[in-house]
Amino acid sequence: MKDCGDYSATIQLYLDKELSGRELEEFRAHLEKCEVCRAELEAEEELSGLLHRSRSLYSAPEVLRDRVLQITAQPLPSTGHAPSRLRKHVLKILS
Amino acid sequence: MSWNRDGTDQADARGVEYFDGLYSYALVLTRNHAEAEDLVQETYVRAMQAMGRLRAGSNMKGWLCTILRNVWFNQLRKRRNGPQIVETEVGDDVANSIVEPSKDSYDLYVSKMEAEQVRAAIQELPVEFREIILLREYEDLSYLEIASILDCPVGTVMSRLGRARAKLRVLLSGPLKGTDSPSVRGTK
Repeated sequence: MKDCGDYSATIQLYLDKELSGRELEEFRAHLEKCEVCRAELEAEEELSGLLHRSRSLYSAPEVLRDRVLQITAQPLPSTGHAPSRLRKHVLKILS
Repeated sequence: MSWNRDGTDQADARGVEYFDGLYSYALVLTRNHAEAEDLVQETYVRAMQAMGRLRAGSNMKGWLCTILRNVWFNQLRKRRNGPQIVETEVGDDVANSIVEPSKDSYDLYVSKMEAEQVRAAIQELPVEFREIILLREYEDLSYLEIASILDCPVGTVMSRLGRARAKLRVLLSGPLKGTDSPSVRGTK
C-alpha cells in the first residue's frame, strides 16, 4: 500500500491523462479516501484551468497567415524516387 | 517514434490549422515577434519541402513542432558568433487590447487581464519550462510526443513539467489572487 507522498507524481500523470489500467483504478480509489491528494489535484486542476482559459496563447498576425498560406498553396515537391530512376538509367547504359 | 494520434487527414491539410499553435511556440522560444514570424514561415517552407516524406498517419502537429524547434536551435547555433538579437516585449498586443473600445463587459476585461498575466508569467520562465508548458497545456501533446520533439526521455518530460508548473504557480500566485481587482503586472 502506497502512502500519500508516493502519489505526488501520480497526480500529475492523472491530470495529464497519462494513467491507464490498474494504475488509474488504484489512484481513483486512493483519491476517494485521501483528502490531501484531492486538494493537491484540485490545485493542479486550477492551474491547468487557468492556462486553458487563456488559449490560444498568441494569435498569429494576418500578414504572416497570408504568407504561410502562399507557401502551403504551392505544389508539393515531387516525391519521385530519383535514385531508382537514375539506377535504371545507368543500368540501361551499361547493358 | 509514434505519431498516430491525429490521423491522416491532417497531412492533407498541410498543417495550416496549427498556425496559431506554431506561432505561440515560436514566440515562447524567441520572445520576439519578428523572429517568431520568421521562424514560423521557415518552418512551413521546410515542412513543404519534406511533406512528401511524411508518412500517412503521422502527427503533423508534432512534426511541425519538431521542425520549428530544430530550425530555431540551428539559428541559435549560427548566431553564437554573430550579434545578439534584443528581445522585444511580447505583451504589446495585449497592451493594445486593454485600450480597445469597451464593447466588452467587465468579465471580459478581467479575463483579458488574466490571460495577459498568464502570458507574462509564462514568458518569465526559463525557455525549457516555457516550451514544455506550451506543448502540454496549450498543444495537448502527450508525454511521448513531447519527448520526441524535445529529444529526451519521457521521465525528463514528466519531471520538467512538474517543475515548470510549480514555478508557474509561484509566478501566478501573486497577480491572480484577486482577479476582481485586476492589476497590470509590470511588463518586461
